[in-house]
Amino acid sequence: MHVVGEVDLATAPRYRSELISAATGATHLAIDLTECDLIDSVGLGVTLGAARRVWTAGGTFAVVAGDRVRSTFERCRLDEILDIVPEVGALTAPGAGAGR
Amino acid sequence: MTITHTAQLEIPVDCRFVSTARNFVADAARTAGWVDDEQLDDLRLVVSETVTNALRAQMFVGRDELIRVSAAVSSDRIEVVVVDSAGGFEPPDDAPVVPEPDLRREGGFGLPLIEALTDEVHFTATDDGTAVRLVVYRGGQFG
Repeated sequence: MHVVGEVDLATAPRYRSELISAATGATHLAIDLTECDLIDSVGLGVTLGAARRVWTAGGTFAVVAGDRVRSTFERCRLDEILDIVPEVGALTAPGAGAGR
Repeated sequence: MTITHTAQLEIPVDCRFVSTARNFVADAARTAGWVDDEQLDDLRLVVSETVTNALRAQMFVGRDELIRVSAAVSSDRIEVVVVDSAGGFEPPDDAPVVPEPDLRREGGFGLPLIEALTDEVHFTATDDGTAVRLVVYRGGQFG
């Protein structure tokens, strides 16, 4: 799933519904935030909720993010529980041990 | 400290105006000569979090007064004040800390982010709400 723009209080509902849709029944989900300019605390919470949904189903979840968005995840220590990679090409192949 | 630029904005209790507020403050800083993109991005995020808190608080209590945002930029710092009419807020006694990473958590990141992205945060009770004053030093903790 590819996100372009900013995730905040106004856009989080759409982000949430798209994420739930993508996460439902997904075994492996990667959220590409490399073209996301800003994600706020609401967006972080939504992302974490989607990760939980996928992990609960036994799948893998990853975030693809540049330095700026990655730093927001890091400030909330979410890099400790989420796989965050800098580019899509760095994603671990499904089944290669990225699951929780 | 000489104030080089001041600006005021009032926004309605509508989440579409969170982006208006953060861009307004970043523009004020840029107008006053702040050029560090990383610091401007951090400023946009912290204003976004603060205004989001004000909006949510007013939505929660059903108040539709305009939320006031002001920025005063000087050579060494920017001070942003966000004033709501949500009837008051009990600020934490201690600085908010980033919660332990927890998969069950989907909230609680806002105040720690505000704390992390500013050099000073002050909460003051007003007659009918809260004034939050954010201070960020130019090139301060973000180097």
